Amino acid sequence: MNCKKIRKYLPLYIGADLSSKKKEAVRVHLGSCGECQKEYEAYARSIKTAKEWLSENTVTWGEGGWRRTVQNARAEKAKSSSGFAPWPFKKGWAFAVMGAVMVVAVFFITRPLFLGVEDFPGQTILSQRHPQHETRALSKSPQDVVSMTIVSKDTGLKVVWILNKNFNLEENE
Amino acid sequence: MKNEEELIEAVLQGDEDAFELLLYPYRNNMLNLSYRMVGNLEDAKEVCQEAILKIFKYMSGYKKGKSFKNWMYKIVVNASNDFLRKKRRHEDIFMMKKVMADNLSTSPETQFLNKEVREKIADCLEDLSPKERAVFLLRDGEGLSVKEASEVLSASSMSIRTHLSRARQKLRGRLEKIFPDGPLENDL
Repeated sequence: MNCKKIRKYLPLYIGADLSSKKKEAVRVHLGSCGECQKEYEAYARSIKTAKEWLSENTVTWGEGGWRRTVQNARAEKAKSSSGFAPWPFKKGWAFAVMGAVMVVAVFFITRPLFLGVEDFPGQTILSQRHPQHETRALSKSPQDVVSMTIVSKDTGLKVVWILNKNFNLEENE
Repeated sequence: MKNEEELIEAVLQGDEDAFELLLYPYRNNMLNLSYRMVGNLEDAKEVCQEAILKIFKYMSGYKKGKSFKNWMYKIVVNASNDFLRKKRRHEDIFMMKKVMADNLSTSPETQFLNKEVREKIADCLEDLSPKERAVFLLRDGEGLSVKEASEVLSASSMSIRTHLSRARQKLRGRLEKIFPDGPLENDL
């Protein structure tokens, strides 16, 4: 390894934060390079100073101050999870209630998809009155087919018109 | 006296008194980490209160078997970053350096570092980005390994090494400017 690379590794070498392979390479290089050795010593001095400063210059928490801080945190927590909230608004219950409401809503919205096409009221009436058109009626939605029945008062003649969605007469089979 | 695992179990069962006992040994670690992140003792206490509240609230999210201390550090670092983001005062958070230097405890071993030197070293942290500062404080201040720091900061080991290297380079550069003849030339 050249000096440039070794100097790049020095900040980590100081704290033994290099892999053992790189550490060994740096160690060997430092043994033979006076300039890099000087660099290493400069790093070692500054990091030693900073570390000493960190380890010796500390602040301590007095008993009273510590207890007050913990009590404040406990009071804050009690506030954020108040026991006065009615049961539906407590977190766990709120999620359960919301979940149940959503399941019911989804069921009602998607209900028609699970029901048979014969359950549509218009279709049922049509097929009951005109069983001969049942197949056709079942295969079409109520919006596609309209039936109209005209009964003569005098003769009792009954005419049934089956109209498609364009109000054109459907062909009778 | 319950051990940490028993206290965690008790907290998970809803024992609020156990919560205080669980955090008590780490109270100064929390305070120091947040203090060095935000640079002001009052703000650090505010950050710690927020962190304690989060630990309390999300205790159920703690995975048993993992280091509770590291999990707690993660919450403190995140709370500190949130605080810095909210306040948007990265430029002047280190205004309390003088107060900080006066409040710091001194031991016979540190007497060679006078108040002026301490202030200047505190200045150096200002040059680091929040990420670099967090990595440096966790690795060189709290003594976490690169792997542990990567877990705390939710970053890859590669990213932690990159930030750590940059932080150490910046600190060295800054310290050399402050002390051209070397701060502790004869101390090595």
